[in-house]
Amino acid sequence: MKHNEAMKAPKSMSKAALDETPAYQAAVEYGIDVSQLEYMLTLTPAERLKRHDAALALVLAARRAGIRYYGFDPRSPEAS
Amino acid sequence: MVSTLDLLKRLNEHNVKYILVGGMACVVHGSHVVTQDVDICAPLTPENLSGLLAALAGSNPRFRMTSDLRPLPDLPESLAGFRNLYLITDLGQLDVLSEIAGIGEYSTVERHTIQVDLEGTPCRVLDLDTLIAAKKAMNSPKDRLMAKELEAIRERLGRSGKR
Repeated sequence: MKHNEAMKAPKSMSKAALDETPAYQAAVEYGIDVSQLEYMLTLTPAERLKRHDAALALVLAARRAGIRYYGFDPRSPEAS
Repeated sequence: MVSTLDLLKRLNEHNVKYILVGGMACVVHGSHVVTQDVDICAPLTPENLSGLLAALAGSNPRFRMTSDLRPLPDLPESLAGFRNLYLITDLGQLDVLSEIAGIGEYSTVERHTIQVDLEGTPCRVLDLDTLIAAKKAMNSPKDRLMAKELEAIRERLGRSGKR
């Protein structure tokens, strides 16, 4: 897939200028890891999906590990 | 396929002392969160940093917080004085924290862990009560939301008599 340049963060905007935008500040205050967002914006959409797939493999492994540890699915213990 | 689980395998292979914390730890305890980053608490001693650098070798580790994504140096001495390392690698994102807010440094954190098996990779994970305390100490709306979810899980575990 061809990378859509419009999906990248505007390069003309400096980090300091970005820090001062209301939406950026609100995200920081909410607890969003904006450095992660900035990194993701340097990637193509296809690269972002690959990152997600790689992380998802660990998420699923962590979920299975929790089930093994508790002996049931801690998300719905009453159903186990 | 590239898997972020390989990051933890590599840490184990190089005898890095660490404890899984953050969103991935929340998933172990039943959270629905889908996260991309791996947060670990680890002592940033020369020995542990040496193991960390060896574990990350070849994975193109870079500092995520630098605008030019500066590469991680090869020598542990270069990292002396760092309290945390926010990294991006070809295997995924890794945040190395020397202490956890509301809990303390690694020596304290390691007293509050459970041991799990991540597809053959043994891993120490922050226990549920301590994870909740850590999330509450962070006090951002996102962390408070996570604390609420974990508290609900803890309550359900208690109500079902399975904890």
